[in-house]
Amino acid sequence: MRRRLPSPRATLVIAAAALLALALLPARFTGWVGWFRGPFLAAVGPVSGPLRIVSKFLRPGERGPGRPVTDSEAELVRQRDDAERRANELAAQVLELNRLLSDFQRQPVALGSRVRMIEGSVLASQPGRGLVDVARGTTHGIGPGTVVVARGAAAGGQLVGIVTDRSAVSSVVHLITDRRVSPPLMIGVIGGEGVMTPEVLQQSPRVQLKPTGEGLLAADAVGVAEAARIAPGAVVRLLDDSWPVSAQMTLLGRVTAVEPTDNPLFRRVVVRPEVDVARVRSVILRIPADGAPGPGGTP
Amino acid sequence: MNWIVFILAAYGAFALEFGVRDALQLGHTAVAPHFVLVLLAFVGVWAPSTVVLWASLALGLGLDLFYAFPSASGGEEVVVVGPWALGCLAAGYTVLTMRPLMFRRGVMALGFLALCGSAVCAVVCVTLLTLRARFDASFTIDPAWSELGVRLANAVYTWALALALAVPLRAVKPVFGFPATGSGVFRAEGVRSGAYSKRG
Repeated sequence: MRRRLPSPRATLVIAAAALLALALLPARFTGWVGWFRGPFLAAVGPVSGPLRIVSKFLRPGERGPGRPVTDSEAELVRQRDDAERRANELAAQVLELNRLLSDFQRQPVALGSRVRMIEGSVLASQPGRGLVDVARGTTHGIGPGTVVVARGAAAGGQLVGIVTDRSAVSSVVHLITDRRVSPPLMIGVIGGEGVMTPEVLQQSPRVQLKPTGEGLLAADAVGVAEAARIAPGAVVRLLDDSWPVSAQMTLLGRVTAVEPTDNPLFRRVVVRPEVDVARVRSVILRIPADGAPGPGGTP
Repeated sequence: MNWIVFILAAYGAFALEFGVRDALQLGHTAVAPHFVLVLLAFVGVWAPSTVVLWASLALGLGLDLFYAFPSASGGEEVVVVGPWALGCLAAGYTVLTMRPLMFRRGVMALGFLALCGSAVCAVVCVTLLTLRARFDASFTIDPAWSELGVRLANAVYTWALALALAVPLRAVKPVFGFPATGSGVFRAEGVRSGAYSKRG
């Protein structure tokens, strides 16, 4: 005798009731559903990845006309940018060592750690939520606090964000331009193009930037004297102990405006990332070689 | 309906949602169309009612998995399964309810049904998320009216996308294997429900 199966309508009602319960139960009871996200994104990735080329065509996110376009030229530029960043990081290390020596302090120097870099393509972007999904996960060594920079000729090592969640094959990156990013503040050192010496680095103005929510970073309370040394077009790099070691001296963007504020003693400095970080197609993930993200790296 | 074709179409719609949607955003706002909801409206126009509801649920589940929320602590993202799925279910039901009143072969019908379905989906989704956010502080969403405003704007944009996709979708309609319908709107509904056969 055949058992009578429930009708499709009845099954649908049961499914809807189950989903209603899942929708309203607190995260501690429904955390397991997040496991399915990684495989789902990985399954759609092979098609959505190439489609991002179309996206790029429709809405170019990268700025910087006149930059090289062939792969070999782009790779050379990337290597040069990375060498510049490394040199600037070493300058920051020298500065830190000088400070430590002068203060007779005995504490480990965090700067200058080795990082391992792997490339990853962006699977999906949710600019409204300040997130992008990258096709690299724990199987590739991605840990919490892994720093993500843009890849490409025009990107020039632009800091994109920080990994906040990861599955076996994909990771969620929180963009630096989103207000909810953690750490929420970024101390940027303002300088010119290329390599900076420790002396130049020491004298360079610094600003405490936070995301505006409109794809920009801004420092709202920069002293008038400090602001007078900041010119539109200047390059801004991250130098902030609250961020992971692998993020130090990565590019935050360029100063686009130094504006007056309601308080005559302060100016507002606006920084625009070199690329639209929500629309990068390919990124480089900077993983600390020792596995530890360093100060501030644990979200 | 041929489910294999539907799965392939859903795969394509999700790939477009993930890969292209952000390029269609209006400026720096979060307003952008939903390819998946256009597919939902398309299936909703032509497929049998139970099939429409199951297909809506499946598409909604996929959107739930994709649209994760930033956690309040800034740590791991929170996946909330249910709001999109139930929203899409409500959208599918809305399309089913409204389609007898439409001239389904018309380009405007798909756009209008996509608009109505997306709007209903937005209301259900925001309601559920707001309810949950009241007692679950693990994730963050924008204030309800702001979230609803963006989603309703998305619905209007989805209407425009549906208008643009109506002709290509009509061209691939035979591949989906939808049940044959008569020439008239009301006759089609009668055939589906079996009213004509009962009358002999």
